[in-house]
Amino acid sequence: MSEEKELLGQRLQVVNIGLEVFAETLRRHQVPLVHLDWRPPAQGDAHLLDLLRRLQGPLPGSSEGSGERAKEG
Amino acid sequence: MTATNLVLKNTYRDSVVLMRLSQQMESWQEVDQATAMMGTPSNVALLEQAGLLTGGPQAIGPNDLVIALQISMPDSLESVENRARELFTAAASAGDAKDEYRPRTLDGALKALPNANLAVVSVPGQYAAYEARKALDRGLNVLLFSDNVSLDQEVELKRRAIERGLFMLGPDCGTAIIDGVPLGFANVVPSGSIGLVSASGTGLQQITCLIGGAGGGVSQALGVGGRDLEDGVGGAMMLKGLRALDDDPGTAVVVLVSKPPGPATAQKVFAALERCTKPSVVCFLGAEGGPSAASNVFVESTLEGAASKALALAGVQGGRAIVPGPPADQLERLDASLGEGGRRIRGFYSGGTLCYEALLVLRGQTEEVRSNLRLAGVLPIENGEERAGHLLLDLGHEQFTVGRPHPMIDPGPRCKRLVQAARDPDVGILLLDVVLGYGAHPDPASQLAPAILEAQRMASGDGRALVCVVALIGTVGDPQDLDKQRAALAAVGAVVVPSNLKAATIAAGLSHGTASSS
Repeated sequence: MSEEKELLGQRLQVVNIGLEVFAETLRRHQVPLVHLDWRPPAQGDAHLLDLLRRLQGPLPGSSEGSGERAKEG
Repeated sequence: MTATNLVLKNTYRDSVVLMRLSQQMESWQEVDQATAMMGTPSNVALLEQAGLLTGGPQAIGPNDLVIALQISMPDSLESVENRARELFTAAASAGDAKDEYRPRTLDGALKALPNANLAVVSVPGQYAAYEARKALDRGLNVLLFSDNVSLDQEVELKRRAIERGLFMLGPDCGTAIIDGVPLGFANVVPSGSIGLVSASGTGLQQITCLIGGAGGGVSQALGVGGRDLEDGVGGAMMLKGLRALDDDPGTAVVVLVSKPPGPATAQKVFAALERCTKPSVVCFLGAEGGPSAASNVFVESTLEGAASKALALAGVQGGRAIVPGPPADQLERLDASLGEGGRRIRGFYSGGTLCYEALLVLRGQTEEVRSNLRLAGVLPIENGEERAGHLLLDLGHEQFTVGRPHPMIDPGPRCKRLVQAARDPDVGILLLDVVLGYGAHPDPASQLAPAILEAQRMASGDGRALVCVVALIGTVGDPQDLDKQRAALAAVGAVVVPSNLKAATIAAGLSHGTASSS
């Protein structure tokens, strides 16, 4: 079984970040769902957001972080 | 008339909620005009330019919600303000989700839903890559609906996703059907054996709707982002999607859709198709030729052709024409009504690929064609929207969607353009797509049909006819009621067809007096 099966052919469980209208559709399809009470990060301050982006760490190519969650479910 | 502003501090509502609530306030008898926006610097500048800001902009922050009201009955100022405040406060906990737990952070969400496997991200563009990256870092696949994400950010996100064995679908192609679940903009299509991977959101919707309408069905449909096949991205998600569909036991036929890929990426995709164990259909709209295809790879040049071929390969039907055109006598009547008047086309699209496909039909004709989309043989728009020649606009392009809902969600701006176009005596044909399905406006014809009627009345007042051709993209299962939408548009005299190619061909035919043979 290839890695791609981890999205297709599984029961979708969704975190919705943004438009509520998409959460409404998923609720209608009985998809397990959490709709985030999202606010602009750094209270919408562009400079602070830039700093937060930098704090997200190095660009891809590093081995930092973990992809374990997708492989569990 | 009294103008007033309400500023709700630290209150965030998304652009669709703001649109709905603004429309609701405008339906109040005492309110002439209502605008609700988040207080970002660009939005505050817009309000100021429009003369809708009653105080100074200094006290408004990007996390504040600004409501600008023009009230026709000054005595009711206080009660209108109170109702508006209540409306926006109640909107935080609307409908059947009012008791639902809504965490403030992604980590909070993952505590509540520890086996989550997908994040759907549709926040404003400037925050989208940041949120998508957080989701990927926590092992979630991502469907990134937002546009205004830079190419560099897209490349970075997709590389990160590939490293982790995850999908990063999007940006700016916000559609997918995964195991029957519609995500973003998606239609209600029967289950079946045809799987799609598409770098075009509305291209995917067009093909899935034509498949559904002809009795076929869809196994999976993955929108991978409009730039996925540019060489900078290298088809990262299309190649991953293709492998996934090859492995998917529910998929018997694979369809790939995109605008012309980068040359290096095209080679990679065709090489991958040769390794694919299932028959496939490739529709690279506007591509000139391509690598020679293997025996089970079929190249189609139109969305309609791709749907038809996929249906034939799936054994649903023998490749017969899946989209009957309107009766020739209807087209003859419309052609005659245009008489010696102007026959230029004004096309107002919500779907970028649908606009692009229409440009492919219209370019190379005697009349110049202009658009905000770039395509050989199509002139750019200079000095605003020039009147000469045909004009086709992709209003879903990110230049039009900053800080406001996509035109598929909010038909308002298109309605205004339809009426504006009617003032130009050289214009005889209005061309538009109406895309139904989840995520789209609940009843687009209820707004577009009156605008078409008003445009026609204006033209008629000047002694001219104005013909409207509509590509209605939807299925009988869509929440908007396909038959009702079609009937409402036909009732104002629009020619309504289920294929964008057919609509553009009819419009082209009307523009040079040969519509009845199209």
